[in-house]
Amino acid sequence: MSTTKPNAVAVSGLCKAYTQGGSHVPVLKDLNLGMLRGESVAILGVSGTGKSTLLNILSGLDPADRGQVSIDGLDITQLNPKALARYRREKVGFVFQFYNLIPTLTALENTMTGWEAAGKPAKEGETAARDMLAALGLADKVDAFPEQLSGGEQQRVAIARALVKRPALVLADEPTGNLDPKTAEATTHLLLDQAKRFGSALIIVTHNPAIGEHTDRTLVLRGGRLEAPTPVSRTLAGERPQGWAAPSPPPKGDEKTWGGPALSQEQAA
Amino acid sequence: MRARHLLTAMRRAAWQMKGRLFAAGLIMGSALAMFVGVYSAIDSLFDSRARWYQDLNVADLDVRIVPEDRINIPILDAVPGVQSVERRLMLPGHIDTPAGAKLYALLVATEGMPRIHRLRIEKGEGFDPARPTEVVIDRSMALHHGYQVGDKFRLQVGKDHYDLSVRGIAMSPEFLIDSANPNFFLPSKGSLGVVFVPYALVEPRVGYQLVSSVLVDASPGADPAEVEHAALAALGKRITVEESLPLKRQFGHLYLELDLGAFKIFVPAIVLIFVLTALVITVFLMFQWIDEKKAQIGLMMSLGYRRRDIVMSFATPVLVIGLIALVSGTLLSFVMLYGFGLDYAKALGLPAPQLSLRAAPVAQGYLGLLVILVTATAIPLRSILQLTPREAVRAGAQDSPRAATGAGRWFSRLGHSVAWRYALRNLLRSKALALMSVLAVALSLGASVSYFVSLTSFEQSIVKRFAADDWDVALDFIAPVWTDELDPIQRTSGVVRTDGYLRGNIKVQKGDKVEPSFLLGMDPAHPVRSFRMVAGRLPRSDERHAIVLERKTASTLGVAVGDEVLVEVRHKVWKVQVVGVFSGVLPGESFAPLLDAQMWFDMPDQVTGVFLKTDAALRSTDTLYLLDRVARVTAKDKLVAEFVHHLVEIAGIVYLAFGFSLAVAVLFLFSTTAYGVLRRLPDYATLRTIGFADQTVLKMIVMEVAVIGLIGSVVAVVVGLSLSHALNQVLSEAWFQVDTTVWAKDLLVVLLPAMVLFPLTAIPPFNTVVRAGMVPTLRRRAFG
Repeated sequence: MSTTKPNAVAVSGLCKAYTQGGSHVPVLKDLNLGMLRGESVAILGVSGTGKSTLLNILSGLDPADRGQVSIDGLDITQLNPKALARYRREKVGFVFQFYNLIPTLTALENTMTGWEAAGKPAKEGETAARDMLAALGLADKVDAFPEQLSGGEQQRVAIARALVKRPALVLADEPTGNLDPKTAEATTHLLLDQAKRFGSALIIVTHNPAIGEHTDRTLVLRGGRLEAPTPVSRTLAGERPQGWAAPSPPPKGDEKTWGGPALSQEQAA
Repeated sequence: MRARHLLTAMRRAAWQMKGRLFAAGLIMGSALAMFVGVYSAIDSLFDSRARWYQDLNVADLDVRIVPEDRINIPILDAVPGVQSVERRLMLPGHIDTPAGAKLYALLVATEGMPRIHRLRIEKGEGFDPARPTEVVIDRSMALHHGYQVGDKFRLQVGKDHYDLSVRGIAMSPEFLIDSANPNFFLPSKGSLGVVFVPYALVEPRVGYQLVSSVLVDASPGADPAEVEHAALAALGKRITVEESLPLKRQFGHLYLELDLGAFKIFVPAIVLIFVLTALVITVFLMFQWIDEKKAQIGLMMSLGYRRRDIVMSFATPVLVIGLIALVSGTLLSFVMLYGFGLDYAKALGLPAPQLSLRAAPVAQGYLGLLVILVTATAIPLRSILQLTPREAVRAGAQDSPRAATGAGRWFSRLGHSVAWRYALRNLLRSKALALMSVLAVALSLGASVSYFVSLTSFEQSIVKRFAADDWDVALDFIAPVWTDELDPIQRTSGVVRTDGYLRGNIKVQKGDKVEPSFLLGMDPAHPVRSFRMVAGRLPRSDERHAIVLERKTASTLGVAVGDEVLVEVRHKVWKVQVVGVFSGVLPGESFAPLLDAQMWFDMPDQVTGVFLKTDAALRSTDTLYLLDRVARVTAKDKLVAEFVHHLVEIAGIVYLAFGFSLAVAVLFLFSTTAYGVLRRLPDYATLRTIGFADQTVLKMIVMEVAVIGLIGSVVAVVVGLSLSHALNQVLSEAWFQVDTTVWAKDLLVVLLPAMVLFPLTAIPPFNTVVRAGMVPTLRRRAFG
């Protein structure tokens, strides 16, 4: 078991529920998740299972009801809104399904927003952004506005924006949902390669099981918990985080629910 | 109802944009208030004056004569058009006020309480001839010098004096506005103390009833000009008429006409700017709304709604705007009415006027509002009629802006900060929105700049004219004095130089046109008064029978430089050449060589007053009252200071108008910023999600507002100066030459508050960004 890679994500006992029409609707139930830096996980699930809620909580946009969420060693459940904004700008990169590029900024400038948001010097940001765009094959598009780019190019700019600041965690929400299969595959590879290159943990939420074939692990969000698809074909057996226990046994009465890799008590503390 | 659900949808949509509707309604309301309020105030002031005139039986004619025994005054009661006549004695003097100053005073003696130019007793009671030392004083003397009923004071008239007590305090239609010296035609509150006494007070000292003024009350419907002519003819040649003052030339009356007339010049320009701004805002708001709803319009068309129904459904916000404008405009009209009316009356020292909204401006204002609403909405709504469902749907989907080109691209790349570029880029990508905002800010602030610049121009045109005059004090004598009698004055400590002058009323005739004129005769070799010449020149020192006319007199007579005119003085006519035309504050003033004036008035070697050049040795101008025969002492610096003070009070009106203009600019900026930010909510949500602090987002919005505010302010200065120059030109035509004077303070007084307030308009839209939240905003195209 390797202990060289530090924990990027450590989620334990995460619960979240919404009140809808006066009734209590639990979405996430005692969810556990652990990830190393540089590790990629694809989270699959049908609509309404709580994928977005999980991403919102991991990004600090939504508070958890219960449980611990530690990103790069920082327990974000204890942070106030200001600290959460700082957490997002320093540790998290986002890739959205619809790219969410700012239409009035060029590819370079859009990429630089990621850098600038992190409060880093603008001059260095331009170099970093150019490098990032070049690495993603957009060296000749730096001055193009989003409307002048194809969907795949726009998503690559979004990836550049997410990764330019070298975040601990990259959250990608259906990053290829809006792309044709060929472009989707190329974009996925670029995303995975660059995240690994910078040592960022990458969570891709998707309906597309094909993406799971390229990530280190694939998990399914079902019944408020993360479980491995059957069979668990790809895991990083030799790269589990320190204190990483064996996969949680399925809770009694729900043999199919798998809580994913859980942290030990010490780790959680 | 066929389109009930469509109307419901539009009503709800209108509610969602209630802030912008409210802003547009308020802007229109401000335009309505400015128009209705100011015009109602002006009308109210004139009506109040008319009521005072009627209630107090103002004289239609005041014939000032060289003092004469009453028995020698021809009876005018039988003259056609004359209803009644009042004979009175007016003597200049002065009073030592409780504050230790000398107040120029006028003793007005009548047989009993006056029947023409009646007095309205405000405190105490009218005088009783049986108790002649108990007198009535004018309200202004009580108000500005603290005299109350029962107070005692001494009135000095020449070498004589009267110890008097105040029996009553009254308002006179003749002295609605005080002037330190009507010869300079400037109002000066509290500069005149009028004391109304019975003849019984002065008769014992004089020995007979001396008359210096004959008041004529014309019969209803009589032509004032014919009555004047008949009255003067009836007075005959035995009586020396010094001045014939029809009501329209009386100082208080004429000043109010010209001064309120000046406001009447300004108001249409101000209202026009408000109307333009309101028009621009409403047109833009409707275009904004239609643009936002294009997809919905397309859908409605696809569902089968008729275009007419869709257009009608857009009437909801129009009605809301109209209703807000109507209510707010009517309410704000009262603010303008009382703000303008009371401030103006206070500044001039007028009695409290009766103020009310007038039917005519209200009706015109409401009609104008309707026209603006219809015009402003017809243009954008027309675009719906021309829209096909396909175009509408496509327009709704294609909302992405195009890349900036050329200079815009260069401009948008200024600065390293992406946040800064984003703000700039937003402005460039929404050029129409940005241009409209700049225009609205420029018009609103430009109007304000013009108010202040014009006020300063008005003030400085007069101040500079006085500064160019080569005198410090003007002395008017009780009666004409021989020039060698000026020697004691010349020897007075502090007096450096004396320049005698002769003032008197003349008539200038050209063909069948006759104009009264107020002549100033001075030595052309040393004309201590400065004249703003608009044509020709001043008479040369060796030139005789030459005259310089005030511009309006020349214009009315149709004479130009080089023309010959007839000058009638005391029943004698002289042929005189017009050598120059000047622009002056006192309408109808004229200037001729002193020798000519002395000849025309048959007063060789005599003067009616003297201009003094003084130095520091003259400790107080009040001491000059002690000189023999001095009736009135007019210190130039005091005259100018009081006039400037008067304008400072008038500035209250300007500040009120500025407040309205600034509110319009702020409301427009708020409206357009809110619109722009709403369109870009997903952008802001994205930026916040990727970690931009709320402060940075606020800064981005503030940057947009600041850039518009800055550009708008620069354009406002250009607009304001141009407008002010144009208004000054119009004012110059109507009254006297007003030269545009630009002071930095007049720009700063407008721009600084605007610069403080403008960034605040970013706060409500920013709060909308925060309230909208990141997750709900992004939900449509982000997570999930």
